[in-house]
Amino acid sequence: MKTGKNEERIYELLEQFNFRELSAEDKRLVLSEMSETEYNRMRHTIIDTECFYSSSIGPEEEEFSSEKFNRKQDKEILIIKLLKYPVQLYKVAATVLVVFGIYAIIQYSGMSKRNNQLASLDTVYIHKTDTIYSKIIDTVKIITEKIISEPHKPNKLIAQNNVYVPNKEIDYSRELCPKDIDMIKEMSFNSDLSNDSSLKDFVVAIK
Amino acid sequence: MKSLSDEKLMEILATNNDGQGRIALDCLYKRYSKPMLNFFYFSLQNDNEKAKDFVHDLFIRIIENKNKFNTKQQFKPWIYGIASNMCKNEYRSNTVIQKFRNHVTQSAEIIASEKENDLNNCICNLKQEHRSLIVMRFKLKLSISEMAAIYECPEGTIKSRLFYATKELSKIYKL
Repeated sequence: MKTGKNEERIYELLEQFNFRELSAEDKRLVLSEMSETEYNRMRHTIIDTECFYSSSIGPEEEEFSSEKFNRKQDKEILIIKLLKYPVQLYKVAATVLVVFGIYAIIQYSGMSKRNNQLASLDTVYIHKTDTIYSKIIDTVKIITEKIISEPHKPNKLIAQNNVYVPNKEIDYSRELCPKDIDMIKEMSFNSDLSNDSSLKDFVVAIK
Repeated sequence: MKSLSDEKLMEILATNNDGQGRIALDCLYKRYSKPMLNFFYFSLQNDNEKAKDFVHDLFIRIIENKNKFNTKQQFKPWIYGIASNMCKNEYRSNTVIQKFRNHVTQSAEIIASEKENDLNNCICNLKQEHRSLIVMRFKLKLSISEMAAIYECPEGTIKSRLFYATKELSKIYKL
């Protein structure tokens, strides 16, 4: 029997029997390939492996549902379909151009919008400042302007009494002489000097 | 729908893109997701998250290749064949090779240490092909004929491979 055939037969025996349980013919076959110890070791390895796998805890299976897979494969199938869909090159190029055009328009409009917003914000800020500032200044101005711009009204009585127009000019640089006294006497006053307390005594003294 | 065979469900899935196809896929998923999760989990060094991702990828591959399935052949070997190839590809990828190398360098120390009797560690240190065979045989309890169909080889070859896998395991697993 060839070696390959022996291995096949020995493996069959290993799965089923211990060395002691083998027939004389099988023992001879086994011993032609390996020792009894080696056979027993392999036999125990097989038994332990079977025990290990029957008692071993497998991977976490509770999360592993078919729905999860269906969701995943739905996505992947869609992507595969899209990739496999035949499209002519010029259509792709046209689509890319359109997309870029729309993108550029959106970008431009977005920028102008942003500028408008900035302008409006500035206006609001200035308006607020002016309002506060002008209020204070206006109050001060109103008070001062009222005082300054009040029209001057002279007392008519005082003007009539005090203002006089001499008929002749008097030279005050020289000393008074009798002529001068006469001339003063001749001067005509528009007002009554007797009413003026300061001139009254002076006129009486001259007379 | 639940009473239909796997092959019939695959036929429905291949011919219907509407609700019927969805129900057929759901039935297949319920039948095979758990054993496939176990297969990936124990074949990929007990990485739970990776095993879940691999199950999802496996069913996506089934959907993509639903028209390639020959309804005259059996579904079970076909799905296990895809799963086995996915494990091989993963094993060949650089990250896994690096991980395995690190594992091998550490394995001598680990085996010599207190963990030498940990059967799980010993199985993880096996070659990927041997590990898959042991998982299929002892965890998923597939028959030799089913495994032969999966690997598309004679039953004798499977037995021979299992013999060497067991021999390798018994060397590192000290009783």
